[in-house]
Amino acid sequence: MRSGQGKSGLVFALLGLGLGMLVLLVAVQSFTDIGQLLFTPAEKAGMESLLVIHKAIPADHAGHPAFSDEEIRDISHQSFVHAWGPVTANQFKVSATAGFQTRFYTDLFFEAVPDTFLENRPEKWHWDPGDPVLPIIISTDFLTMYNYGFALSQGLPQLSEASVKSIPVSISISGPGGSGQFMASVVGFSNHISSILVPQRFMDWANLHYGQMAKPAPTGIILKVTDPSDPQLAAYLHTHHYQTNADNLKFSKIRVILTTILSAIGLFGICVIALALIIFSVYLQLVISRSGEQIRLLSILGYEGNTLGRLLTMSMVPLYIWMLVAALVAVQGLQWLVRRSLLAKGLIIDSMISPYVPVCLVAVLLVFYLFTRSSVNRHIRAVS
Amino acid sequence: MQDRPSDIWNRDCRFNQGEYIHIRAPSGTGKSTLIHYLYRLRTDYAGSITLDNQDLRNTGPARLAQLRQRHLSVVFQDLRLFGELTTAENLEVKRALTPEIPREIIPDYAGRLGITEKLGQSGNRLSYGEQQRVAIIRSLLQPFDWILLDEPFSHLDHLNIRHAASLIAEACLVNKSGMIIVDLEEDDHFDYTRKLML
Repeated sequence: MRSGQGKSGLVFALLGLGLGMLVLLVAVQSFTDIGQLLFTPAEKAGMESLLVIHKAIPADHAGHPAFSDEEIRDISHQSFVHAWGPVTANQFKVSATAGFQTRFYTDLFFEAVPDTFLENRPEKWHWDPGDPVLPIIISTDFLTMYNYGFALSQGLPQLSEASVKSIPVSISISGPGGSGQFMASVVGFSNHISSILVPQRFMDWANLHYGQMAKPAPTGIILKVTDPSDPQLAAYLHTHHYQTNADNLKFSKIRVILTTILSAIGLFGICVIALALIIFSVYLQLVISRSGEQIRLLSILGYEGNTLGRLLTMSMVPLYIWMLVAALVAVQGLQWLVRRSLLAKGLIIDSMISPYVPVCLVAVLLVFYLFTRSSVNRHIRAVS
Repeated sequence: MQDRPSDIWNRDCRFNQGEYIHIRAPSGTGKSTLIHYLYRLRTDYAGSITLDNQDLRNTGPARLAQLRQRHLSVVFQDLRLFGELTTAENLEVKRALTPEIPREIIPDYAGRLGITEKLGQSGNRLSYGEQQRVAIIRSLLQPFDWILLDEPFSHLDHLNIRHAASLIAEACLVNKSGMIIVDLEEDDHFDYTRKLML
């Protein structure tokens, strides 16, 4: 079939296909790039993030702050949770006195998490009944609060991490099971857990000994997650009224917004492609109806409609392959350009395009090919 | 049509394999219509036409293509060439359907009918006589059980008729095929086994 006419239809259809494909592919690629830039710092560094979640305090202070077995089971089954551990609170009273010249007295609380959840676990993080010194980890936030809030206003000395570690602390514990005295020392600081941590072993022992309850229901859950900005995580915490202090969760909102925008762009690309399909179909119909006489004659000579359709469809395949190569080159070129301009701003993305791009491209072309074939066969049946 | 005695219309009629049948048909008696019915270009008739006990009317597109590629050959009165294709292309389009027919047969046949110089010329620049010879050659570029000829020599001179008829006869012999020729007048181009009136 030779039809010099109606070429403009083909050109428009191919332009539309190319444009739609480019928009779709750029959306797919941007999604990968943005993911790389924003959302997975932990994954990039090869580690996971820790989150401690608590139940939100309701306005009427009703409800139980501890997690039930059922709630814990549900949390542990979520796909974004890599590992979880209970945060155990003390079931006894604790007070501490510390300092050399200036004695410092305060009531305290303890919490314990399983050892595997401690980042940079200190060497001395070990306690057995009868050990002389109880190791403690406190949140760096507490030290900051003391140094820049409390100490300055009260005329107390500011303390470095090293000096805090050297201060002897004496701990008094009392509860239904009796009372006791311990020497304690701060052995480390935590960025992730806003609490005063003691070894799990001590907590279990002391709860049994003084509080008469070895394993109370946990009031908090510590989670290991690969991506704290995962919108699924944020949605889960929100629907179950759990709260956490991780800044990373803020990203989840940005991520939802960006995902929505990129999906809209991708959808727009798909619409353009669909439009191109319609123009293409009209073009094919035009070509075939202009060649109606020839098609009828070929059919008289013994050509089957489907064979003719296959020939016409196959004649389009080189076009598709050119298109595929051109689109890949264009997206790769864009990626290099974007990478160069981002590098100047200190941001790094891959120099190669995401593997989803060629997959998406092949899928679009396959749809286009199948559409062409069915459309050609339909039009040929109509004329012959 | 029904007022006139006919050996075909409104009768049962059987053509046996290998028969050479001449059907004389004065103008307006449905000569081309008969060829179109037999080639299943049209099905607007009462009654039925069967080929190997299969009703032509119920032939699907795949089977029909098969019939036209390997069992039924035809030369139409209106020749039906591709005007924008060259003679050689017109012939190759047909030959390509049956690869066992060698490509070299095209220049050979063209030579025998004296249109070698026309092989590169496009169909719509050929004279009727040339077009008719191309249509005849085209009908021989396939295996067939029956060849249907509709006034096949109407535009040819005596010499060319002799060449064309001997070419067709040879092909029929090779294919052990039958022939149905419809024409205005009686003739003795072939050794007919039967002569009928339409």
